[in-house]
Amino acid sequence: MADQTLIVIPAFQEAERLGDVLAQIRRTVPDLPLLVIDDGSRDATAHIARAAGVAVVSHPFNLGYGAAIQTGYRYALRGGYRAVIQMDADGQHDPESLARIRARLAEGYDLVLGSRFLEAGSYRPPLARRLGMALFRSCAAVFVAVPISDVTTGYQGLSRRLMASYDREGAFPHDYPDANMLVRAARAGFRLTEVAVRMRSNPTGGSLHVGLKPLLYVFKMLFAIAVEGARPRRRREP
Amino acid sequence: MSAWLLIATGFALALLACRQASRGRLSSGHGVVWFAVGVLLFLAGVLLASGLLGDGDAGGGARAGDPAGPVRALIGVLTGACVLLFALGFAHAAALARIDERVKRLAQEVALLNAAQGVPPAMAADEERARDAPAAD
Repeated sequence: MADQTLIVIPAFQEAERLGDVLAQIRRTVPDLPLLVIDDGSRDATAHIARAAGVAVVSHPFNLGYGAAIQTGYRYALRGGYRAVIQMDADGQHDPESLARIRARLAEGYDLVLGSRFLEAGSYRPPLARRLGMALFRSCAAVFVAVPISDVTTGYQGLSRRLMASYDREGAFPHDYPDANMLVRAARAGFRLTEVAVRMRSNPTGGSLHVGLKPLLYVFKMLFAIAVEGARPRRRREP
Repeated sequence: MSAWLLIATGFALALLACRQASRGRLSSGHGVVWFAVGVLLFLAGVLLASGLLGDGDAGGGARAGDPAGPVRALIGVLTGACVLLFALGFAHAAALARIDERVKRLAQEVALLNAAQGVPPAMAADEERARDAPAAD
């Protein structure tokens, strides 16, 4: 198990699509172990994952997306995994792009971000979301030297030492760890890069950001980026 | 005096919200709300001090022979009470955030422990219910 890459899939009420998503990933990368974090779902999400022969960690109640991937990092750290690639459970992230992220992790990068904007043919979010992303990108660019086109991507790979750093430092956001965590990793001196990935639109049209949430999300994320920028700089351990 | 009290409190709240959030003692959600409250108090203080909200420094206190004195004193007392409430609210939010963080950490550890022991969540919940149920005679 050690010295391997683990695929972490946070899932909440995804019983409808999870089976297909897991089957697709299995077909594409049969050698990589999978972990589903069931974030307190009340449907058959955990059951479906377990039936597919995948390791499952079930939160006793809904803790949020950020907490789910943090649980995945802890599982990977304790299991001795070398790296983690996180993917959404709704099928938006095309498993065909896994190999690119994996290759960059093997080159020694600590954070490999999958960008939907580097390649034609990938899903493009609506204009309002693209404007929001541009705003976050501009703010994050103040702290991140490497140009990043997709700062809110959830399709990313992390090295063990980056996960250990997040775990050691605490204050990991339980809701949306996006551009703010990118800023934290860059300021700590971790190696960042970006690769082109294919993303599909959400089949149900659903999103984490519905109703008035997008407005609050924009304020929270701008605040979180500013706060990360103001934190005392902690260098990564070699 | 009310205006300066609002300005000082607003500034302190906004600063504290950033500081506590950057140390992980306040979630970014709570942080952004308290930062906004601080900014609003600060702006209210500035407007009051500039006289745009009426009679300049409204909390100047009751002066002898001044017919508006009791009103000013009342505004001053109310401003002080509001500031105190905001400060208590902030302290309460910070305490809740700490508890929330610990509860979530505990829930994650329980989930990881169950997974390590191979206990399916439904079984874990059943065991918990069985433990909590009153013993049958």
